[in-house]
Amino acid sequence: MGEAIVITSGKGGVGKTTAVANIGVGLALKGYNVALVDTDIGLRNLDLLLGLENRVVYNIVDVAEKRCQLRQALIKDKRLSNLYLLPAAQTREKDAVTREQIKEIINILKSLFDFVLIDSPAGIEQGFKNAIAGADSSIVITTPEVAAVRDADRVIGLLEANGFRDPLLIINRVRPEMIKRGDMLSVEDVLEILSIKLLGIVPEDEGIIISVNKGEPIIFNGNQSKAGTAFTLIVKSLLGEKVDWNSLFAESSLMERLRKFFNI
Amino acid sequence: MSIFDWGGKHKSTRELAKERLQLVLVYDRAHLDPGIVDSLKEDLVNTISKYPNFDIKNLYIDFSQKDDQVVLRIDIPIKI
Repeated sequence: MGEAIVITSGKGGVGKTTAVANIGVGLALKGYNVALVDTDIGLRNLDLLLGLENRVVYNIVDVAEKRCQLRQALIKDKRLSNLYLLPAAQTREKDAVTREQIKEIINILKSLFDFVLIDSPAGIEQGFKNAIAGADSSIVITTPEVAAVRDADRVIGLLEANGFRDPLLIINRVRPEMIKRGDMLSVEDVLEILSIKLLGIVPEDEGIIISVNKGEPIIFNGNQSKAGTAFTLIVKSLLGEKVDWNSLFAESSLMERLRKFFNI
Repeated sequence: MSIFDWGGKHKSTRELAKERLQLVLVYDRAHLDPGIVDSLKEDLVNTISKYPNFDIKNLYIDFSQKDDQVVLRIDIPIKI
């Protein structure tokens, strides 16, 4: 039986879908069978981030309403044969599915895959409640900004009220130079305020936009980008390995940079 | 940063953000609106001012976080 993990944030635009795509690819690269489920009905995006938008035939609402089999709606990734996407419906409303229907779908997926990652919509209404319905554990994602942290706190409260014992935190779009300048909440600040366990940190990286343009999650580039490295570390952290987050921000010495430049 | 901030004890926006968050989350977690403190204070003043023993001018009222609980603290000095 696999594990179903919901990724949620409260606030929109903090990187839920990017995290789901990259962690999903990362787990698949490690050899696990992974299903990604987009529950953001009406605002489907996970297909775009994975470059699978042209392959969508059926969606989660079709499965819920039994218009197709679950396996017919699952889209196999172009690059990895052990990664699948169950897309959201684009032209339906959030209440097109019920919690029970989602729970049933997630349960079947758990019997077929090692990991089921659930991308939740922004907000704390019905869509959020649906997204968490079938999950065993949860990841909360935020950025070091007051509005995002406040919303994350609200979501953590709701997750705990719904029986999720230890939500894990990803802090996205961290800018070390702004923290040093005293113009951004630090990782420690956010952890102190929210008092939950850290899963990982992702530095701000232009490469994310480029990877979304191409429909290719940045983790495919391995350690060539900061965000790619960060997501690789997050996958390790999720699998229980100890990760040294300071290494992500360590300024490399001039010698190291020269060596890297000349490839020696 | 202006020239007047040089060497001063000016708070960084990071500290400002942290303090504002910590304060607003106390209310959020207690499902209270910050305005309730003012309204509660007004009611308390109205009630307590009926009794001359209390120093109503120095009434102190505040919500704070204590472990998992949000605590309402009211201090009313007694006149001697």
